[in-house]
Amino acid sequence: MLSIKNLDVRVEQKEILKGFNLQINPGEIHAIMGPNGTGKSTLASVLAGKNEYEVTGGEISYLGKDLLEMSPDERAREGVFLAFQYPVEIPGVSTTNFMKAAVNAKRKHLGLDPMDAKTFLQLLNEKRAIVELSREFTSRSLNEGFSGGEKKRNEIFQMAMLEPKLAILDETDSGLDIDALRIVANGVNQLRNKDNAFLVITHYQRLLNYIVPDFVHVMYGGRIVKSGGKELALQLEERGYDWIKEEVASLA
Amino acid sequence: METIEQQFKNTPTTQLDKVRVEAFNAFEKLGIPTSRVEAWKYTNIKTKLSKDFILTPLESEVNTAVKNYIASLPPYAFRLVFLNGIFHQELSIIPEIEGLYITNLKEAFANKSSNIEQYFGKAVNYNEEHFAALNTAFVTDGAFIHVSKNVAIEEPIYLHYFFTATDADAFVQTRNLVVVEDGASLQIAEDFRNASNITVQYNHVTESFIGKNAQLTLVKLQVETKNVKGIHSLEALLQRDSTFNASTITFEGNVIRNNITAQLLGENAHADLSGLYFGKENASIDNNILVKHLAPNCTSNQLYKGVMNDESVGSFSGKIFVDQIAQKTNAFQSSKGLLLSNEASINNRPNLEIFADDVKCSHGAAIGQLDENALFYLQARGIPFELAKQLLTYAFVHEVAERIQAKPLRQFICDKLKEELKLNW
Amino acid sequence: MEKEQDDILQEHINSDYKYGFTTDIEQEFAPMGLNEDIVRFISAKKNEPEWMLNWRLQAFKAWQQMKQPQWQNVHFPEIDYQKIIYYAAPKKKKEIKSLDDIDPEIRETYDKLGIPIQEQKVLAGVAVDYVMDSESVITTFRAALKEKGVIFCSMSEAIREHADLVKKYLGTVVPTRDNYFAALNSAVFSDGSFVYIPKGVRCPMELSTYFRINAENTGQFERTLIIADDRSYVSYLEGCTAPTRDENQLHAAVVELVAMDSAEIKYSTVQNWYPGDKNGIGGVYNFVTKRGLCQGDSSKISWAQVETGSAITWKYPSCILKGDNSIGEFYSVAVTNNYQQADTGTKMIHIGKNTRSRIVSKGISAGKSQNSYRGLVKVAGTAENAYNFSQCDSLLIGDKCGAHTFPYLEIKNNTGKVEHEATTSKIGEDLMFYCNQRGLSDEEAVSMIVNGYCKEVFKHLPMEFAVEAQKLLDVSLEGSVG
Repeated sequence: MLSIKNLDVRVEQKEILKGFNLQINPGEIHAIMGPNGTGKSTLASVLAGKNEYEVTGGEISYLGKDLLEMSPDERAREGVFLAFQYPVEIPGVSTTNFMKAAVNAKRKHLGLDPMDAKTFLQLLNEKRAIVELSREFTSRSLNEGFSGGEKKRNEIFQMAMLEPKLAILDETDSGLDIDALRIVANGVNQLRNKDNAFLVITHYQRLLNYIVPDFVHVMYGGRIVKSGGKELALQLEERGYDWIKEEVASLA
Repeated sequence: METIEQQFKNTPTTQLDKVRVEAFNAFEKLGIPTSRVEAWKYTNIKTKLSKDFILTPLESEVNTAVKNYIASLPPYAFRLVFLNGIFHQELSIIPEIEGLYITNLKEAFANKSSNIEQYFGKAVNYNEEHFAALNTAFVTDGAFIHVSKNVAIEEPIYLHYFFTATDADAFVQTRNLVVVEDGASLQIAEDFRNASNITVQYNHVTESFIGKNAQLTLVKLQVETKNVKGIHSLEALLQRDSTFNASTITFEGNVIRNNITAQLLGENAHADLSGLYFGKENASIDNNILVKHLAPNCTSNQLYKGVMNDESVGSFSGKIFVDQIAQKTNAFQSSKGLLLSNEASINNRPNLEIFADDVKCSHGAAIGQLDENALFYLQARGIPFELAKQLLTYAFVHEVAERIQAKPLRQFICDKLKEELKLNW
Repeated sequence: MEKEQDDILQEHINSDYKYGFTTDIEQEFAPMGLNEDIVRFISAKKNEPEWMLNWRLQAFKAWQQMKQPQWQNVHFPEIDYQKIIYYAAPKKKKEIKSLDDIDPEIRETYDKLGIPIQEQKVLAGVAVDYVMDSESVITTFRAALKEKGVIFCSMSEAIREHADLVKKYLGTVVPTRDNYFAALNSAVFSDGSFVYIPKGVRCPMELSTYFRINAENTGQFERTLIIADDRSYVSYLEGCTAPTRDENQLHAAVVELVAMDSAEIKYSTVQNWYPGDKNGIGGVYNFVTKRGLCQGDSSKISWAQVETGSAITWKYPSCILKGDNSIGEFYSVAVTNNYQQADTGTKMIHIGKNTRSRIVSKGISAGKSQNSYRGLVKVAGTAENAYNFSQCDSLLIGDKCGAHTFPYLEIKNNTGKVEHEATTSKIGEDLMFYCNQRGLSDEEAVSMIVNGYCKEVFKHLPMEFAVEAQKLLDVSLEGSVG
């Protein structure tokens, strides 16, 4: 589904990703962990197409297409979803209307007619239940005055509405209390199927108790330095990142 | 005025003279503004000033009022005293400190100390500002303060302006020039006092130059200014990473006009302008603020609060100007007024002029009376109505006083506030 | 490649103003320029009574002594008032008695504008007066209105048929000498709409006037007068378009509203005069004086406007709150793109006791445009317990435009409360990226954000107008991002 080869990325002349490689297949959940400033969020932004990131080398292929050639909105309509670390607020635009615009943009892209109001509302109610959001939330202005936890649940709700093929969760768990974390994780687990894939970026192993990954990667210095199964996350939780840094240093 | 005019007819020889001749010519064109000039819409200054004002300096005389006041002062480290716009050496205290140069402007002109030519007339816009032009041409004296690079002056410098005039047509022109070099810091208090029994008129300008990473705090006290017609212009040029704090405190005055312009010329500069004013009788108090954001990532803050009694008129005009290059500007302005009498009035012009897009600017203005719920709450706790009013008024303006950093000054203003509001606690 | 892109871009931009066509109909004109004879010519053309001519001549004399104001935050070359045609009208072939008598060319024009002149409009419940250049073309649904005693007709007709009402109210809210353009309008106005709602009548349908400038070198000077008698209600809509022309056209209208005891007038405008091209060539100068007088106790006047057109807009729909307990409202969206300039806002003059006013202004600047809000809230000494709340927000799209706010608050009574809030923000990259990531293109995202931002104003427009306004906004801002 997603194949990243030798990716080099810069921001304002500073190299963030250096020779980054990753392969994701349908049905898989990949977790990326690593200390602060190693390029985890940069990876998420580059995949979604944020333009301040300059790709200086390497390639990304998504469903056989060159992802880097696509604009951010094209990528989204092709099924790439990013759950933002810091979701924005849009005054005056309700979550419902926002989702209607997004769902129909995608349908138009697929050559389908806009969804009729009734079907849309049904879908809305159904998906809202997944993240335990009340009706009132979807009628309020998008993220305006939402708590941190509500914003993150709203991200998962939007993911459920848009049914992406590749979902990237950028520190969705940061700052969440245990209840919100459970709700977010439940949402992801319900959406998981054999055709879609998840890339979960996190600081904390805690999330991985709820979303069980197939692969855990450790990022350091702009690339993946160690990969393993879910037990690697536990190891990191116990021992921190210093031993990884030492390993990398000894190899260099 | 003729003899002075003559003075300007001579060919200027020095750079300083050149500036003064230019300003004189500008003033001849500008004259005293009428209320048709937008900036003077709310203060019809032309009708307030005496028609045939006298610009020649008057003989200075230390009267009992001045003596008593000086005697009552706590021991300051620094003090410059001016009588009717002329420096008074004996009453002043100027200790020698390395990196700090203080003299009076007249003296500085005479010996061209510390490159005064580099600064004089460079911050004010005497080509367009009526009173800046007048002052630049006719200034008699004032303070010249220069702080060298990385020198921090801990103690505030007090500048006392006493008016002991005997001629009501006198129009005193005073001026301060303050230079704070890179990394240096300084606090100044300007104190204006009418020590005479008649109405006095003055036009005061302060030009300040704040270097990179430097800090200047200036507190303007218009406390003992009964029967005063005073026009103040405060100009600040801020280089990168510098900070400018200005507080204007007005308790009395017949006609008080405060112009402040802060130009944020370098990145990450910060200007914090605040003021509180009390209007009594038929006073007209007019604050006119312009903050110009001319570089990216700068911040500015304006907080003004006015309490108007009797038939007084309070006006606030505040403009935030953001240049096209001044991205990531964060500018805030708040102006609030309390009307305590039905004959009093407040005019408020909070303007935004924004030419950059990545900015956060906002202003809020509110005019009204004390919150009835709050009044009721206090009454319900057994506090008499009058006292409740005084307490809430104190609470309303206190926010501005709180911002003053120098503790003795802050204490002085809070005490004065209580005195004004007849609060004895 | 670049050339091709340019062409596509060009095409795209040119398509922006879809009302830019002209109608080829026979017209008659006054000679170019302005003097007393022209004023007499216009008055004669309209078969006006003597008193009206004298009124005009007085206004003309006043105008001659006045100077064009300079204080607005807009810049434009000097207007040569002698190079303007002050009267143009579609030549009437015969008296128009029914809709079938209307020149097919004119009908087609209004069809193209999406406002077919036909009785079907009754379904939408809107009676329409159509004004092309200087002349009212037809007013629909007169019979239905007449039944209720509502007078809705062209100004010229009102001068002839309802002289007593016109005489009593014309120029009472906007005196002829009020300002330079009001004086000019008073001298040369050619037509416009007149509305009178009798006591206790709730106007059964929305009244609407559609203004269209068609002829070249022509100024449009319409005059609208609406009187709502005691306990009556009316909702009035005004729409405007003009052809694409390289020269600047002058539009100087005057609108006067009078609300008597417990009467309510709702006045909505969607202003879409030709804004000029992307280089700032051409476009309408829209210098309009609109003012409402809440004469009676408990009366209410509410202005709602969506301003997307005109090269320069200069207007301040105002309320004079004279009656006790009267209410004034102003809801505005002003969009500027390319080289457009707008200096618009309102005045709320509180005179009566317990008067209340509310101002919600949303400015949107894009391209190289300049957008200013200018407003006055004045509380007179007599206005006990007055209350005003103002919210003025500016939204910037791109870094070449400007947004300015110039409020004036003048309070002379200590029992009132006046609150003003203003913010300036931008459609930032983060917001755009977020919307992109949900699959929305730049234009879809801007449209959605802008509509959300303007929601508070749109909800005060009649439904039909709100939809049109949203579409207009999209068109106006096309190509402003990315």
